[in-house]
Amino acid sequence: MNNVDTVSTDVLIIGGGPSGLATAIHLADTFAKNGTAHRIMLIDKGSSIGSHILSGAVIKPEVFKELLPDVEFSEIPFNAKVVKDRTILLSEKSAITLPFHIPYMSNAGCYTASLGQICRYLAVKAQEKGVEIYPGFAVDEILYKDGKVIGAKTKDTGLDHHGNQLENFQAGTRIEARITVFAEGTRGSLTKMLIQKFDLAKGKNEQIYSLGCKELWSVPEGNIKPGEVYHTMGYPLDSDEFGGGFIYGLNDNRVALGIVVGLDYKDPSFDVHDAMQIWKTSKFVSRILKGGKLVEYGAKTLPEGGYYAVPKLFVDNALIVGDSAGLIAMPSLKGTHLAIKSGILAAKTVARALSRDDTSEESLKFYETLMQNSTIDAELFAVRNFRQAFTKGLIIGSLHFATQLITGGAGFFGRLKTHPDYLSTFTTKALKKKPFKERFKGKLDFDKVLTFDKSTDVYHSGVFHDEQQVVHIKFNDSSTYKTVNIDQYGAPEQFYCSSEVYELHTNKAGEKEIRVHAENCMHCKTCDIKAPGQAITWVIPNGGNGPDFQNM
Amino acid sequence: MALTIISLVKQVPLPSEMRMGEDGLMDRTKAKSIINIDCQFGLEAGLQLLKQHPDARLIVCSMGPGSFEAALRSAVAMGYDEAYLLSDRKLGGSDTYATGLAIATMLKHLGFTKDSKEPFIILAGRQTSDGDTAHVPSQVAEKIGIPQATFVESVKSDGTNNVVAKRIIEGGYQLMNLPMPCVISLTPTGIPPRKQSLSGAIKARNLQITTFGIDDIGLGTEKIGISGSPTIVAKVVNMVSERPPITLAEGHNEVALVDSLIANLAKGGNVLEKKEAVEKKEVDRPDFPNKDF
Repeated sequence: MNNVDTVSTDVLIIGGGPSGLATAIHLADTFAKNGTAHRIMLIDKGSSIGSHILSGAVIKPEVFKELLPDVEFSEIPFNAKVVKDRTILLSEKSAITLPFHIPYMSNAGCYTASLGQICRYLAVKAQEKGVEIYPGFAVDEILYKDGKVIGAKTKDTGLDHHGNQLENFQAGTRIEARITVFAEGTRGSLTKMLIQKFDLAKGKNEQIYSLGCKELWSVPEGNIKPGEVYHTMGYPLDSDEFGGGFIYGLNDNRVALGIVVGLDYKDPSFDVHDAMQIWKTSKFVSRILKGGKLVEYGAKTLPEGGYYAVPKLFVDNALIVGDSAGLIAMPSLKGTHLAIKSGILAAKTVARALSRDDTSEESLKFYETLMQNSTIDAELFAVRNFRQAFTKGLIIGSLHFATQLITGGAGFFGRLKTHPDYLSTFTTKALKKKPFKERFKGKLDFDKVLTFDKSTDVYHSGVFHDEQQVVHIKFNDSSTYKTVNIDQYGAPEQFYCSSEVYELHTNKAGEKEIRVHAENCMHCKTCDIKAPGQAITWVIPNGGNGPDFQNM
Repeated sequence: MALTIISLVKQVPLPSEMRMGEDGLMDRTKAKSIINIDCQFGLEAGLQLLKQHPDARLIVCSMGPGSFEAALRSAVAMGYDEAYLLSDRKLGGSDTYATGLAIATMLKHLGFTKDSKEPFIILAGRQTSDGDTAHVPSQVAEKIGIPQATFVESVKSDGTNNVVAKRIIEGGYQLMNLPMPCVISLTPTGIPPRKQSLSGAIKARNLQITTFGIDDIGLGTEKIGISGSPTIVAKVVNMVSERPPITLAEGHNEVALVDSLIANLAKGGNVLEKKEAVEKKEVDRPDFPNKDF
């Protein structure tokens, strides 16, 4: 029973988000057009397609016409068309509407949506076209032969906390594929290994991330209209914290809202989830939520490094697409249309490679050529220095951005560099400003009506993890963890984690230790990004585990 | 003489998924379906027996609407080989007695009778989360005419044609030695069900499930469906608890939790008043209990 099964396919797509599904759909269409029969397998770690998908979302719809040319646009489950689009400068009591749009942030012609719902729709379309979709399976190993990718292996299940086989052990399955497409989303755990193994980020900027916390609310009629879109700047963020809030009116009196904060913030005790709760208490936001109730909660990181942080996206037998590739356009934080576009381009590359029976790196370089001539490249290039400028704070960032607008994106300094987010965190001693809890003293008692503590929010994500498995949070060096992460940085995990996985506990001897509640994990991977000294590695848990987002 | 392992499963709504709708009624449309938990332990017991009988044939059977195919495919993804579904509109409304008869008839149709030359064992869940009767495994055993062991935690083959079943009884366990063929019903306390394997899921996706109607297995209509079921639902009562609402002590650590508990105790509740009110109410209508039944 412990023999490892092997299955083989022509194309393996890891991840059922917009990029992976677009790859699958366009590939199936291309094969059908060429009259070739190839097997396309798509696997996803969520218990169902869409259950791990979270986005704002305001989506640029044009690319869907390219992906699904034969489908009536109205058939795609978008929510409301954007009817009102405002940027608000927020303070606790006041809200000033900016009289103009920040360049590249206009949402005219866009639609609000639940990206999870759209992915479920795309999955049905893909299956109709013959794509085999298997949700609920986690892959934790890339398969290599002679140093080249030949597929991936699903995780062994039926292990105890220490990794010993239990009686219900089920060996993972080896999936051998001619081409593997990595579409794991932000900070993909296999993509990270692939980038390291082949040094794909060589000569590129370090990828930097934001963490977005989102809630979905049901509010009384009249609080907000479908298609009303607000982005807020300012409160409760300081000028050296990059980010802002979003409020999107949806049909049926629902509203999607949240804040997105760059993980290059300095305060080790900064808490994005709690900052969002404080943000909700501002007059402007609380008025929209008045009388409503929380429906869902979720969190996700976004790769924001932009143009210069996109790694090399092809090696022998493998491609990287979507968020895993870092394809997000700033400052609008839109990535869905780029994810889909990259999927389409990857599909064209894969189809061409298979028809030539050449899946080598040389052949797959075609993907890069297509990218360079596509809208993705143009869109990312125009704002190539945007996010880096703001690592120095809002004021310097705005000055940079202004010069970039004049110079077509270049600015006066050419390519601006980035540092990985974990390096931006200050030790508690070195931090010059008030720590988060003092800054917002008196605002952190959550009333469970308008504001919620993390555990209540986590409950609203439907999260579930198998009890019997190896804990999926790995401390890379437990000896330095206490002296560095706890003693010097004050255990920032307990704050930056979006779902209360980490708890600082003082034992009877008075020693501080971190307790891990891995079952809360929202799979946002902030710990993998932000832990000082890269002390934590996020390992993929059993397939089907994690949040169960319905309309995120 | 290869062994045949037969698992009986039922698909039920996931209890934690059932949410109250805005109208105050249970919203079943959104509830996801799962294989009944006890039946999942039955499936795992079958896969454990496979370790002792590597050449065994693994069959999974169910009775219900076409949507039950999902449960059968899940069982195949866990490691089963073949799947059979008994699905017929005329079976709608069957009680446990009629269900036991129908399933037994299907199994007999498949060649599993008490006089079978080939050994077989039928595994089932102890009971289902949406019915909770624990009747069906016993009914199936009776209708086929073979021995049964219910409330079993684990089952092992003893190397001959017998199995040893560890049965939960009050205050301990009972070890039973049963000849095959037999029926075993499994409690959700044994080895937890394994996860699906991808290779299994691929097999399940391509699997042809054999679906029978009652005509296919030679089952008449007189003993099935609502009219064929001896159970009569006389009345459905909405039980309202008289117990005062529970106040939860809350806190993120031991100190906060204990503080919260003490604060709640100090604040006091309406525990005693409620209890007194209930007792008083019962005195008000002394002739209520038992008489009518």
